[in-house]
Amino acid sequence: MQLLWDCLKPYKLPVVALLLFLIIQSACEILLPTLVADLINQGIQRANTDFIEKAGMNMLLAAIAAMVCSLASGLISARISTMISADLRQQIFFKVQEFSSNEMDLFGVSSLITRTTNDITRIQTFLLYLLRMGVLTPLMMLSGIIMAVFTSGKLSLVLIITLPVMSFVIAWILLSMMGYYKSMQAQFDLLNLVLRENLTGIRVIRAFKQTLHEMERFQEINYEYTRLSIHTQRLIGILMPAVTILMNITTIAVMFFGSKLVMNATMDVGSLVAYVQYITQILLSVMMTSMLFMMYPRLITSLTRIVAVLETSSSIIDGSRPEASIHTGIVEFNHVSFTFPQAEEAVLKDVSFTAYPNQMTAIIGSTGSGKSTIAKLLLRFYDITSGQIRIDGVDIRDYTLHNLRERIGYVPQKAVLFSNTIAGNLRFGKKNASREELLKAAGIAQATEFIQAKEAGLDTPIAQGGANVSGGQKQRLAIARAVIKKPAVYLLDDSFSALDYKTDRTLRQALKSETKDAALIVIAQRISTIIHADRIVVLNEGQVADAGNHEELMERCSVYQEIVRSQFQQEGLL
Amino acid sequence: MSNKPSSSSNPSTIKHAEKPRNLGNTGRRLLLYFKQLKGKLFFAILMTVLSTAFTVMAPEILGKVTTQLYQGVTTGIFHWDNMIRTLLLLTVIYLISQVFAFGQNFLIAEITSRIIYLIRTDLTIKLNRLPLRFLDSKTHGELLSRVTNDVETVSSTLQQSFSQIISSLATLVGISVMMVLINVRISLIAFAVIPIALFTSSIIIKASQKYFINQQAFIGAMNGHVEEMYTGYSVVRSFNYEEEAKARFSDLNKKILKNSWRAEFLSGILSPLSAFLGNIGYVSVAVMGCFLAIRGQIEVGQIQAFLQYVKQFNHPIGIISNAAGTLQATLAAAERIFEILDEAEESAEHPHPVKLENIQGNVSIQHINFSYLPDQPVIHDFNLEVKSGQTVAIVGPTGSGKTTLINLFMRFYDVDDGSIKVDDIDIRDMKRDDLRSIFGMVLQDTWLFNGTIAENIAYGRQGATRQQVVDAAKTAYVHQFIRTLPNSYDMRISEDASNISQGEKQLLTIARAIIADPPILILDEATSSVDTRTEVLIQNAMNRMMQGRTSFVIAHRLSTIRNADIILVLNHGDIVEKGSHLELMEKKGFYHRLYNSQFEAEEAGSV
Ligand SMILES: Nc1ncnc2c1ncn2[C@@H]1O[C@H](COP(=O)(O)OP(=O)(O)OP(=O)(O)O)[C@@H](O)[C@H]1O
Ligand SMILES: Nc1ncnc2c1ncn2[C@@H]1O[C@H](COP(=O)(O)OP(=O)(O)OP(=O)(O)O)[C@@H](O)[C@H]1O
Ligand SMILES: [Mg+2]
Ligand SMILES: [Mg+2]
Repeated sequence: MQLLWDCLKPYKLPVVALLLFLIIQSACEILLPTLVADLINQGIQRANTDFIEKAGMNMLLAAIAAMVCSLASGLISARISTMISADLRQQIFFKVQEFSSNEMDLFGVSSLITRTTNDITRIQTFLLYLLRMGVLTPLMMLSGIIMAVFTSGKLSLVLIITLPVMSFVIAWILLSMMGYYKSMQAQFDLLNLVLRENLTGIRVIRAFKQTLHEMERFQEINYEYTRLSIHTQRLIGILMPAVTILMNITTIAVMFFGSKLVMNATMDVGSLVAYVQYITQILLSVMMTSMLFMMYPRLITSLTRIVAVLETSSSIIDGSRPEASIHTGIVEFNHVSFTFPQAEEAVLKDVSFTAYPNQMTAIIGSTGSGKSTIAKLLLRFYDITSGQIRIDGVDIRDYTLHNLRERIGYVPQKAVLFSNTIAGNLRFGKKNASREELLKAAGIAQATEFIQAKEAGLDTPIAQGGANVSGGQKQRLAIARAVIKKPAVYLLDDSFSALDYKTDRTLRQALKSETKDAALIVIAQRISTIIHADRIVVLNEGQVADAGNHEELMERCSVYQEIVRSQFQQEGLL
Repeated sequence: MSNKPSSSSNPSTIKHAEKPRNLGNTGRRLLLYFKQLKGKLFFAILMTVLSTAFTVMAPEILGKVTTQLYQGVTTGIFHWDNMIRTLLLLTVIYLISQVFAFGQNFLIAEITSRIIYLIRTDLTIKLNRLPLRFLDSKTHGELLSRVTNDVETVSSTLQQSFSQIISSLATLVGISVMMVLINVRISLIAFAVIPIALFTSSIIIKASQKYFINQQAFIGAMNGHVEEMYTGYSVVRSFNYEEEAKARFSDLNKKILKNSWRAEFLSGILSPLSAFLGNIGYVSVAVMGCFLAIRGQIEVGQIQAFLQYVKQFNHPIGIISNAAGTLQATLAAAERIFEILDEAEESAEHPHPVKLENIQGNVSIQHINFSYLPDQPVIHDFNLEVKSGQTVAIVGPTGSGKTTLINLFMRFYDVDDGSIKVDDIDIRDMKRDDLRSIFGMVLQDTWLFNGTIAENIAYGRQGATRQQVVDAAKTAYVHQFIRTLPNSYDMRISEDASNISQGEKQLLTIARAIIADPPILILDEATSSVDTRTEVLIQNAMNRMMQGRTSFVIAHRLSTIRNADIILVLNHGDIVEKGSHLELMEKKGFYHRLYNSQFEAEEAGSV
C-alpha cells in the first residue's frame, strides 16, 4: 500500500484537479433536480413560457458542465492509472536487470514474468476504479452522514448499529478472499511455468508423446485456478447482496422508527422522506466502496508480489571503484571456495590458479566437477564464499559489474541466442559494430560460410533460443558474439562440443591469432582442444587435482592421465 | 537505427496500427462458448430478471408507506397494522430480490470462470497441435501472453461487464414498460436517447478499438521481450546488455502507455456521454412536460412520476455503455486468442492409421527432399535402406543436415516429397504418437522440466516404477551423482534446469531415453558435454542397448561410431559417402579426411 501512495505522490496536482472536477460534476447533477422542481413549481403555476425556456437553458448548461467535468476527470484518471502502472512495470523490469542468478532462481522466470505484466495490469484496473469512484464516495458518504445527523439525531442511532455490522461483514468476506487470491496468483505463475516449459520442451514432449500428459498437467492447474476463481467470484457474489440486504433492512428500520417519530409528531413526513434519501446515499457509497474493497485483496496480493521484487536487492553488490578497469587480463583464483546458496556442500574447494594474457589456460574435469561454476564466479553471477578472485591484481568485487563484464568475452555452455537477426545477436557484443566487424568476428568463429549460405546473410532472422540454426551454428554464433567484444579475458565454456573436429581446429587457430593479447580460458572435454594450452587446470570434484602443461600432467597427474587414456583409447591411438 | 540490435528488423516486432479486423465475428465466436453452458446461462438470466423485477418493485411499495404516513398525519388516524404489514412485505421483497441476485452472481461466477477454463483448454490443445514451424517463428513470451494476459483480460472484463449488462437490460425493459403505461408521447422523448446513445457509442467504440487491439499486441510483444531477457539473463548480464534491454522495454512500455490510456479514456467517455444524453432527455421531458401541463394535457403529478422513471431509465443505459467500453478490451484480447486457434495445425492424421505391431525396425528412406524455407533445400533426393538391428552413424560437418534428418523421422517436420517407411509402412500412415513410440531419442538440445529427477527420467515411459528409474539411471551412469544429491531421486530440478550441470543434464536425458526402451534409438550428440571418462562407460552401456536394435547415432567424436554398420557421410544435405568404417577409410575420401582431422592436432602437438 505504501508503494501505491508513493506512486500517487507525484500526481498530487492532477488528483486535486480530479477531485475538483468530480465535485463540480456531482454538484451539477444534484442541481438538475432542484432546477426541475423550480421549473415545475414556478413555470407551470405562472404559465410562464419564458421562464420555462430560461430554466431549460440553465439545466442544459448544468448538464454540459457535468459532462465536461466528468470527461476531464475521466482523462485524468485514465492518464494517472496507466502512467503509474507503466512506471511500476518499468521499475520491475529495471530491477530484475540488476538481479543475479541467485535472485533469478529465487523467484523463477515464470513468476517474474507474471509480476512484470499480469500483476501490474491488476494494479492498473484498481487504480482506474479508485480514481473514478473511490475519490468521490467518501465525500458522498460524509455529506450523507452530516445531512442525516442534522435532519434527525435520534434516527441516526440506526446507523451506529448498521455501519459497523456492514463493515464487519465486508471485512470478513474480504479477509477470507485474501488467501484465495494468494493461491490464485501462485497458480497463475504455475500456468505460466508449465506453458513455458511446453514451449521450450516441445520437441522432447512430442518425441516422448507426452503431449497428453503435459495437457493433463496444464489442465490440473487450469482446473485449480478455475476452482479458485469461481470461489472468489462467489464470495464477491455474496458480498453485494449481503451489503444490499443490510442496506435495505436499514431503510426499513429507519422507516419503522421514523414512522413512530412521525406519529409522536416529533418529526414530519418530509424530513423522513429526505432522511431515507440520505440513508440511501450513505449506503450507496458504502456499496461503491465495497466494490473497491472487492478489488482490494487482489490488489494487495499483486502489490505484495511486486514489492517483493522491488525490495529484493541483488546479492551481488556492485563494485565501488568505477575508475578501475581491466587492461591486461591476469586472472587469479586464490583459494576460492564456493557453496551454492541453499546447497549443503561446497562445489569448489580451495581452488587456486592463474591465467595470463597471451596464454591459453584450459580447465578440464569430469561432469559436475565445477567447471562452469568457475565461469559463473568469474562473471560474478554468484559471489565466492571464501578466498579471492583477482583480475589485474584487483579483487573482482571492486570493479563495477559493468567494467568487469565489459572485458570478459563469455561463451556459455548452452549457446543462448535471441529472437533477432544474426547481426542483432552478434551486436550483443558490441553495440554499434559495423558490418565489417561483424563479418570479421563471424570469420574467426568459422561462421562466415553458413551465414553467407543463408539468403539474407547477416540479416537472417534467428528464432528464440536459436531454434532455426543447427547446434554447431548456434555455438559459432555465440563465439562470434564474444569475439566481437575484443575482451581482455576470453571465457569459453565447452564451446566446441557441437563442432566437428575440423571446424574445432580451424576455429581454435583463428581464435589464437585473434586473442594475442588476451587471456584465453577454455573449458573443454576434448584433449585435442586443450593439448596446446599453456596451462591445464585439472579439476576433480571441485578441487584442483593438478595444473601444468600437457607433458607435465601426463607425467604426474593420474586424473589427467585417465582422461587422456579414455579418449585415446576411444580414438584408437592406444 | 540500423546499428541497434533490437531494431525493427526484429522478427517479433509488430507493426503499428493493426489493420481493422472482424471484431463482430470475434464476438460471435465468444458467444459460442456461452452456448456450451446453455442451461446455467438460462438460469442465470432468469435469476437476473427476477431479481431485477423485485428490485424495481420495491420503491413503489416504499412509496406506499410514505403515502400511508401522509394520510395518517392529515387525518390523524394511523393504520399501524397496515404499515407494519407493508414494511414486512417490503422486507420480504428485498430479501427475495437479493436471494435471486445472489443466485445470479453464484451462477455467473461459474459461467465466466468455466468459459475461461474452456478457452484455456482449447488454447493448450491447439498449441500442442501447432507445427514446430509456427511455434519456432514466435517468441515464447508472445505465445504465452495469449494464454495468460489475453485470456486474463477476457476473464476480468467478462466478469465485470457480463452480469451488469444482463441486469441493466432487464431493468431497462421493466422501466420502459412502466413509462409507456404512463404516457406514450413523453416516453418517446426519453426513448429518443437510445438511438443517439447507440450512435455516439458506436463512434467512440470504433475509435477505441484500435487502441485496445494495439494495447494487447504490445503487451504481447513486451511479454515476449521480458520472457526472453529473463530467460537469457546470463547472456544479458555478461554482455552488459541491460541498457539495451531496458531501452527496448521502455520503448514498448511507452507504446503500451500511449495506447492504453487512450483506450481507457475513450471507453471511459461512454458513461459520461450517455449520462449527458440522459440528462438532455431529462431536461427535455421536464420542459416538454411543463408546456403540456400549461396546456393542461398532463398532470403535474404525472410529470413528477415520469421524471423519476427517466432518471431510473438513464441509469442502466449508463451502465450498459460503460460495459460496452469494457467489452472492447474483451474483444481485442479474444481476437488474439482466436488468431492462435485459427492457425493451421500439423497436417491431419491419416484417417485410417495403420496399427503397429511388433516393430522390426527396418527403415527405408526413398527420394526425400526437404527445405525449411522455400527454395533453400536442406536435404535433396536422400535414399537409405536400414535393416532391422543395424546401427547407422550419421556424420558430417556442422549444419550438414543431420538433426534435420531426425526431425523428419519424428515428423516434427514433414518431407516435401519422397517417403520414409518403417517396416514398409509410410510414417505418414501412422498416428504420430504411434510413430513416436517407435523412436526413442536423445536430442542435441537437453530439456528437463521443473519436477523431481525421478519424474524427469520416468518421462520416457508412462508408469515407470522407481526400480526402473534407478536401473535406467545406473545404465546412464548418473546413479552415483543422483545419490549424492540432497534428496536423491526426489530432488527438484529448478525452472530451466539451472541447478545441475550441462553434462548431468545430458546423462539424465540419456536415462530418459533408456527407460523408454524403444524399437529404434536415436542419439543426436547425446554425450557431447559429458566428460570422456564417463562417456567410455556409457558407450559400453549404449553398445549393449544398440545390440539388435536399429539405431541412428550422430556424433562428432568419430570413435563413438566406428563400430556402426553403416556410416553415412553428409555434406550440405547430400550423402557423399556411405559404408562401414573400414570401407570408407580405404576410399580415402571425405570420411577419411574428417576422421583424420581429429588427430591432426594431436600429431602436430606430439612432434
Ligand atoms: N528450423 C529451421 N529453419 C530454417 N533453417 C533451419 C532450421 N533448422 C535448421 N536449419 C538449417 O538447416 C541446416 C541443417 O541443420 P541441421 O540442424 O540439420 O544441422 P546438423 O547437421 O545437425 O548440424 P550440427 O552438427 O551443427 O548440429 C543448417 O544450415 C541450419 O541452419
Ligand atoms: N544453482 C545450483 N544450485 C545447486 N547446485 C548446483 C547449481 N548449479 C550447479 N550445481 C551443481 O554444482 C556442480 C557443478 O556444476 P558445474 O555446472 O560447475 O559443473 P561442470 O563442471 O560445468 O559440469 P559439465 O561438464 O557437466 O558442464 C554440479 O554437481 C551441479 O549439480
Ligand atoms: Mg559445465
Ligand atoms: Mg544437429
